[in-house]
Amino acid sequence: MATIFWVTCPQCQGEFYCHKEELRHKKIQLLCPYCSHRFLDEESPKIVE
Amino acid sequence: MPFSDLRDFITAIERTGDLHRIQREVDWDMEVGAVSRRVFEQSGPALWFENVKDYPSGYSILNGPVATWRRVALALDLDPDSSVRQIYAAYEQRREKKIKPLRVESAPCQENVMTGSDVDIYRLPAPMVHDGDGGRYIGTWDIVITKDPESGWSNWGMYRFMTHTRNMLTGWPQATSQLALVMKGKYLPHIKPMPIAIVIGCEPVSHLVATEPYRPGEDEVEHAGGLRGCPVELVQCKTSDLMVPAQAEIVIEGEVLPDRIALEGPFGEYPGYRSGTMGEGVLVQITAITHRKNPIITLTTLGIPPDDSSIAASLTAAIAMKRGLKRRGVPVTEVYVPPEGVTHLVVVGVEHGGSQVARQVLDFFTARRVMVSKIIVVDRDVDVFDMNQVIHAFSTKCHPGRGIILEHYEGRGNALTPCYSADERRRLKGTSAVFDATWPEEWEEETVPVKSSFETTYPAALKAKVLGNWRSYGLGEKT
Repeated sequence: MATIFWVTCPQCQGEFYCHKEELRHKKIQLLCPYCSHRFLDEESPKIVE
Repeated sequence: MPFSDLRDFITAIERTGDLHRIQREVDWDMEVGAVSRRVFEQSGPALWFENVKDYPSGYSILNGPVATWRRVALALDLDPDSSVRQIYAAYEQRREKKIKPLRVESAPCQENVMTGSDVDIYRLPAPMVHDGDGGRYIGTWDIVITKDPESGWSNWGMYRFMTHTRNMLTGWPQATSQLALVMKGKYLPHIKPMPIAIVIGCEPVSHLVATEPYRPGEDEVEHAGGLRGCPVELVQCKTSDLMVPAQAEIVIEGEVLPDRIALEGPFGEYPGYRSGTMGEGVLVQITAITHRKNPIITLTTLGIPPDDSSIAASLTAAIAMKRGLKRRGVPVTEVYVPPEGVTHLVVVGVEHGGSQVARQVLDFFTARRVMVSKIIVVDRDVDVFDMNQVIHAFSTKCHPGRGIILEHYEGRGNALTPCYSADERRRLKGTSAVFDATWPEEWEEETVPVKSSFETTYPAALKAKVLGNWRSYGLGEKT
């Protein structure tokens, strides 16, 4: 079982989840599964956690 | 008379020879699945495993309640020898009627109740269905009930659920499913757990309804009532305000957690292949398990057709598609979803064809969530239920250059399409093709090839004479 947070891609507005322990506030680029855009979690227009 | 519950239906299919009881001990760990799968592949009877290893007497499994057209006909209270066309027609006609459910205060499905620390899903004989499955699946032939918290709309669907721990399940609703959309749109933004009820072992019509892709906002329970001709009795869950069929064998009450995921799958899925590798699924915290005395788990050992999914969806999806095409103004006559095509292939019959109509058909199938990748459109001289005629029309009338129209999309494809690459499945990326097996509308009448068949080539008077003399030719009864 893993905890997650939801992000919105700033390029295509697609929503997807990421593992919280590994990726939240970690300065690691997230890869949008819909448009392949790479961005930091802080750049997401909407984060649900 | 509609069946009041699963047990009533079991009695009926046993009487007609469509049920076989297995009384010797059978292992829940793949043996139930292996026997069931082989019997499916022989279009055999429903199997009632009455003696499951490691479980007390009375805890049983029923595989394949509606995996043949005979059993679908019986479920709808029709002659078991009804043709597929007759079954479609009866379902379509009854589907027009809706009957509101009846609320009851006590129910057989709550004869036994486990809550809190008593909850233990392993007290039920959930089977390890196939070799390679990610775990034991309790939800295969189920009805999954969730609710839109704003409109109050209660949605019934059919989704797979795997045991995770004694009080947790994992599931894999497709991202484009109604369950996932309500979860994502109405519960996640507020980090609210979504109440859910996984209902197992109802009378057969309610399960059929759960397989049909009704439009959001339509109350499936009212359609189940209409199809049965009497209301479905509902009782409130013990730990949520969800209403569940009172006569069910088992109800698993729980909450989908908004901030947790867990490993789920793979599972031998409805297209006839294992669903990739283990992935991440939604996590359900079980809040209660209620069940009848001597509960019966309904199971469908999915795989290559036929099974409950391919037969039931052939009926329910086809009727839903026909309605949708009519709403869009397509001159549709009939829609047939051949079970062998596992809802990836659909045959659409039209009054008059041509490329514009074919395009309209493709637009309908690709407008929102896309589950179908191949559609054959045929003129009205082709019986859509007769695949010999469909293949003849496809082979002779579909132009390999201009008769195949493609539509590509992303974000709404069917991740369970085996021919898609891993990347396409992840991105819900796909392509649908219409095979236009109709004559072009712009062709002059005299240039349209004349079909050479008894029906189309001979004068009416001669045909009547031949039919009248049929027995005298020594050819038996005319069929």
